[in-house]
Amino acid sequence: MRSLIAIPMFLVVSSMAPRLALAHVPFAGLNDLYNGLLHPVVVPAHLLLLAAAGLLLGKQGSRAVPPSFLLFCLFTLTGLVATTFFAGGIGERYLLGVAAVIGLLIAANLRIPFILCFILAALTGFLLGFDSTQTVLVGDAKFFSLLGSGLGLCFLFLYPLAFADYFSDRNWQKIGVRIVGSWVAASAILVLALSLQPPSG
Amino acid sequence: MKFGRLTLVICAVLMCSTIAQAHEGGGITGGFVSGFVHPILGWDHVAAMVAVGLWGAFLGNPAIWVLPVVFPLVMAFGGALGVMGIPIPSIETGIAVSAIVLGAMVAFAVRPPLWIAAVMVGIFAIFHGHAHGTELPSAANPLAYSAGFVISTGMLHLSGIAFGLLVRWPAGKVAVRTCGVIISLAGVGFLTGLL
Repeated sequence: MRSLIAIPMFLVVSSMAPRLALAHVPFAGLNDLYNGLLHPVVVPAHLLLLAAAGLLLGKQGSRAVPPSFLLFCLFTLTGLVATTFFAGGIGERYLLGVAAVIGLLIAANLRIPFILCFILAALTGFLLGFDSTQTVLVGDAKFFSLLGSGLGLCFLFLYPLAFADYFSDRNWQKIGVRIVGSWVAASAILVLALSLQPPSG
Repeated sequence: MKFGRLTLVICAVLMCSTIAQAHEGGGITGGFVSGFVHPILGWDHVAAMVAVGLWGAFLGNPAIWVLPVVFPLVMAFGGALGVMGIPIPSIETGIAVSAIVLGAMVAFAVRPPLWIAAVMVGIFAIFHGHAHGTELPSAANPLAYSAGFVISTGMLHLSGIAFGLLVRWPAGKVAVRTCGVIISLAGVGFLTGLL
């Protein structure tokens, strides 16, 4: 009889006990690789910049897409490696600033030179990789988490890239991409304004 | 006696700190959802946004896509003013007037040059953006909140455009202009406090 009360009580108490503070590990119960893979999905600034860069580069035509993607992957890896030397990340403000500029470029329907496409792909990859820093994890856990973040960023980048490249034939498709670009710019500008505010009180 | 100790342990555990997670999902979802529903739950926002879409469809190319691209960008400017605490007088009046004027433009089938239409829509966008922007600092996740309300606003434009495309048919033109009348009257209701 006692055990019938004691066991549920023990389970309740143990479930309420404090656990490890997990920075950048959003989902408990998942392994480090998968948590890293999901990291860009739960950081809105990463998603916004990925969408903006992917849409802009995707709408430049099929010739620009493969080298842009390769550069993005390469510089994401560089950014991830850099996190092992410089902890702290890049900060949401810079990610949003780049996203706002890219969003405006999409909305303005500018055709940008290839060299600028490649610079943007490299810059975006590096910023996102560098901002996926893991300050709490060490050793294998950190390695697998960063590997997962890199894979997640590269996979996610493919979606807007392919979307903008595929929907680039008809006029309404191009307009749709421009409207999404204006949404990205608007969201980024608003939060940028908020982050530039001095702390109240 | 043992039970008393156990109770003490439970009470102590209950007071302990909970998990600290950076980028936890709840704030993002909550922020996005509250941002998404903010324009939808305000009838004055809905009326004006749908009117922008209707007017764009009525004006045809290129207004049909210029207005939905211009609106979020200018709205972001208005939102930034709201975030920075720069006051704009009579925000609610401006939003109500936007419904009256934009509804009237559709009702009377007014076709001004594109730049005039863009400037008019842009001015009203500042009022709407300011109203959303003042809510931003208190949002669970400001970026998710702003993405939510920008997307929601865009969806309202698109619904207006979709309905506005009925102007290709004579009966549809009547339906769209009637909708403009209803929006304009609703605007009067918002202004006078009847709605």
